[in-house]
Amino acid sequence: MPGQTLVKTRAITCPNCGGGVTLRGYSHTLTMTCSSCHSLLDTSSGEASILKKVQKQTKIEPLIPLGARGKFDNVPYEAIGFQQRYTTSDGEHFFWQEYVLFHPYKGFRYLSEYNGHWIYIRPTEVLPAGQYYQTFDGHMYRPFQKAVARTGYVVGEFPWRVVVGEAVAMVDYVSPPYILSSEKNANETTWSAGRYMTGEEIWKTFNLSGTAPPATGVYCNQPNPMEGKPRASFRLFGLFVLLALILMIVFGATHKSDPVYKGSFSFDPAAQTDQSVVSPTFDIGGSHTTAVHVESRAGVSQNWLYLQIALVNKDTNVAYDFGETLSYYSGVDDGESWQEGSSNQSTIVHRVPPGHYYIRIDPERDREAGESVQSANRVVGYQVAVFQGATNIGLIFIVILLLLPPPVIAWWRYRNFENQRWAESDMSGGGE
Amino acid sequence: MRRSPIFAAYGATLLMLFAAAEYTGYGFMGPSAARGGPKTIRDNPGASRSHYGGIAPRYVGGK
Amino acid sequence: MCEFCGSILVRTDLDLKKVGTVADFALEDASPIQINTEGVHDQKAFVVVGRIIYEWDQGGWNEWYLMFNDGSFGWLSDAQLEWAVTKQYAAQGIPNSPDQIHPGKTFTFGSTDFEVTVVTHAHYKGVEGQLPFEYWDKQRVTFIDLRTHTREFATLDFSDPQPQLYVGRFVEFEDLRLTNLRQFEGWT
Repeated sequence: MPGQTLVKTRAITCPNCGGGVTLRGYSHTLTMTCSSCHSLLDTSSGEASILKKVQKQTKIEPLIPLGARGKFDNVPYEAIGFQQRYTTSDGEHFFWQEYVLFHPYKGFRYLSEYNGHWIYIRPTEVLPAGQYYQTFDGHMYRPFQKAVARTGYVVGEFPWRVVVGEAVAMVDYVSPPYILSSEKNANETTWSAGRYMTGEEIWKTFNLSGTAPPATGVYCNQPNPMEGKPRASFRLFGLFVLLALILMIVFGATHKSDPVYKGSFSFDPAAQTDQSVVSPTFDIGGSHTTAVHVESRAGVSQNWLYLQIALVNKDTNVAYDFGETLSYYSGVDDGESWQEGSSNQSTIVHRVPPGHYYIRIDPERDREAGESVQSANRVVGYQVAVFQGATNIGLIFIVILLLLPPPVIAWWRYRNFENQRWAESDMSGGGE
Repeated sequence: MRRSPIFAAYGATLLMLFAAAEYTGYGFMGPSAARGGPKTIRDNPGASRSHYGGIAPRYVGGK
Repeated sequence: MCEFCGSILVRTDLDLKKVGTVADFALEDASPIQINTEGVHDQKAFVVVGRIIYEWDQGGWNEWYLMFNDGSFGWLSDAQLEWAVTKQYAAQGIPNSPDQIHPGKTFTFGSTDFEVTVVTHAHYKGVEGQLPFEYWDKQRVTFIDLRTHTREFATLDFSDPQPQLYVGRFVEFEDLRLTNLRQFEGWT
């Protein structure tokens, strides 16, 4: 009856060179390389037998030395095997590296490394669901790549029978930072699930010296550094626009609805006397500059009237000059009625300091070509009113325009990263 | 707001400028202030009519 | 005669000699489980009473025979340290021969749909402890593994003329709360 046994590491003698080799994976190791002569050995039975004598390949030094341990999900795993695999596309070979990690209770995990990007992989126990897209562990995975993967260089121990050059059909699905891969060989299709890791995280996990090789390009399941930023940015944009609108409404509510001055006049084009008028003095109050709007309206019908208006500060003699054209024409053309012109106008004068003011109005009306003198000389009545406080709609548009660049830039940067990611895929119709 | 502190600061600044603009009646289009005519403008409005406003040809004093 | 439950269990350690040398056997053993390892599954305590080692073309695995504290029995499968606990159920609607069953074929057991993932032709490599008496002297066995979109797992055992069905699920090692495990040098 076995008691509290301490299982010792298994050691074998290399049948090729006679060197002693310790098995880190105990009897899980079915294939291994001799650390002395690099022969590929079959260790599935009690005796080691040679599969391939002294592999004639340039030695590749794994970035994570075999025997190094690192914690994943709080469980220490030991790197016991390393292989380099490759796919061929348009006659070109693309290589990547894989590590076999082992814990005597928790089992096997794998690391994949390509161009400085790392994936921590675990074989799945659950079957993903789906035809094209795959649903797994609450995420939707999108097909990224189909390839035939072959085993190239191997060193260390493996819990399966390694055949150098053996091909498997691989399909990768991504849901960054996760990846789902299927590998199909003669016997079965196995699925594994992976999670993206950076070189820095790997170096820290295994406490390796030096720095990790930098990652180049965007990898299939590399998380987008701008993930969530466009949405957050646009939400902030919306909030700011809302606040600006609220500010506009609040300020608008403070404008007095009653005018600070209102006057009615009439213009007689035929009169010999000067028709310009000057208003009595009125106050534009407050402690700061404000916008002032001057409204004029006229009883024009098939007629027009031009008012040259000046808002003058009685004390400083600063004058604001502007003109307002009031007109109204209507008619019926081929059964359709039309109208043209506006019988009331408004001008906003900006940053008017408080003080005593008056307005001066110069009305004008020229005779139209072909118009009768009688028509041109009609007397026109008009009113002018001055209001303190005016809402500047243009400013809101400027604010919105100035608020747009940050969220747009965030969105563009997100899209740019995704485009780079999907440019490497052979299974997409374009970025998404 | 936590995710984009620069944007938050930028937007807040923009809103404050906007509020200041609304408060002081700021704008960029519209009549500009000009040193008006002599103090007697009130008494003789016709004499100090701006020559640059209005639609040409127009009545500029006289018949 | 088994002193635990009174049933007729005839397998003993003597059978080790029948299927492999004891010395080799000890060296080959990488399983952390041993006879009398205890654990918990679905809130029921169990003790490991027996074991079958299977071997096939691509490696091997262990099936540990569990006795639960409510008198029921089950199996703990250890395949490259992937853990699953299953219990035997009545096999209905299963063809007698595994030849017609290929990966991808679906079956429904209970209310769950299972999909065949692999057909394994294996043989006994060794036995240990107490086992249900059907398990003696089997040389060639065919197992069909089935999986689901959840963690459920099933195996069809075609060693007997009547196919046997085992249904259960995959478990995480720590969920079994195992005690009296084998320790590994350098890993304590």
